[in-house]
Amino acid sequence: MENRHSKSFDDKILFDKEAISTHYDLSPEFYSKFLGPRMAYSCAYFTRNDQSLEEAEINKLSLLAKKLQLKPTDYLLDIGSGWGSFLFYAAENVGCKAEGITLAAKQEEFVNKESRSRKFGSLVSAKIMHAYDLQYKDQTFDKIVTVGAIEHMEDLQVVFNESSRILKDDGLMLIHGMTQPWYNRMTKLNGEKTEFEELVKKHFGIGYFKSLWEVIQALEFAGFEVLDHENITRHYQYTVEAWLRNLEENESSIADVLVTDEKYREFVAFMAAYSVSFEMSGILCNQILCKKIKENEFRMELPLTRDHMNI
Amino acid sequence: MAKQLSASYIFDDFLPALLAERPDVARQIRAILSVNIYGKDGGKWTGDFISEMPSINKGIDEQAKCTLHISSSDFEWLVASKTVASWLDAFTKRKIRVTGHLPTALRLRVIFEALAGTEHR
Repeated sequence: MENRHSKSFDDKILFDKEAISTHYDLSPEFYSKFLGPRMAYSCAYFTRNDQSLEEAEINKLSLLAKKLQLKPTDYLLDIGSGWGSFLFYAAENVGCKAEGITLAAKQEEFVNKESRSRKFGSLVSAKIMHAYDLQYKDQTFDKIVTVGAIEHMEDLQVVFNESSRILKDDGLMLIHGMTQPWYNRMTKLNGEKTEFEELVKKHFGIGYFKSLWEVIQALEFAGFEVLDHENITRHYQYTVEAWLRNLEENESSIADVLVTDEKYREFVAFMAAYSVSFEMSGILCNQILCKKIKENEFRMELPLTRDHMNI
Repeated sequence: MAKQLSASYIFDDFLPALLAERPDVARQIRAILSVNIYGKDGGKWTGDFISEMPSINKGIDEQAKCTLHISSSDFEWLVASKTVASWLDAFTKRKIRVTGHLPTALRLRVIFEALAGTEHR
């Protein structure tokens, strides 16, 4: 990775910003037609096959809070905060200060407007900031979360190094994101481009699917240890199926109204493709909880079991 | 230039032979699907990829998990194009219509990959 303020580094940030905007700067009204009421554009968490998307969205947010052991005194950073679903959940249900960063201007505007209208004051806010260049002092945050954003980060090492720097020594970080199984990732590392991956990049502006071990390697190189891993691939399949049903049910109020008919059909096709990819293990989804680790230091007190993570 | 394969060749000849030779193809689809290919040399077929003996039959099955509707000219062109991008483009331009469960229709990809990897006389 280049020097943080070199021209090529700045160009890369600008490229990512423009690429991300092509997808995420569509109107929030469009996304509200197929996402759940909390506008969480990432994998929900189903405790039953027949659960509604709304319930599963809340389960996911609750699960994130539980895994992070979020407390009212915590200062939380959400890297790639989207429309702020977890920021608002954390402030509303835990009472902690929650700050999000995004590259999409419409998402930043949405979160800050919502925060003002829902009278959260300084408790919830969002900023335009790139994950490669986290402009915070060392050890600023108690908790860091990133949900559905690592897929947009080419160099995870820079992001995790930066996260390690701004996370307090006794802090926790939770990574929620998609990876590729090794048989697919190996193809890419051998220099072969898959057509589907190129189409994903075109649709989402940007997309890099790593293997799980690459994510964990980058975490360990950044000074983290993994405390817990959960494979939530099946949950993402159910989530995109629910989004797809919503898209199809709301077609008349979306196509050629909020987005062009072609864009609408593109979203429908990608949701269906993702559903199949999750179902057939073409793409996986994970939650990885970690903390910083230091040699010759006493381990922090953590729950002995996973009971506190139960929904 | 890629050879244009007709719908009847694919569903009446190629697919039954493929299913007999490669049972893994049916296992990767694992559903009953119908296709309605309209226009010159078109037809209606249903693939049963669930039964122990997978089969291709004439006609639409109302019990199919999804049905794909496309003109024969678009279908032949897409089969010859051999790219996912062409299928996506045809879908976004509404040249392909799917009734029922769309993700299941995408599982047919395994058939078109097999078609692309076979020499046709």
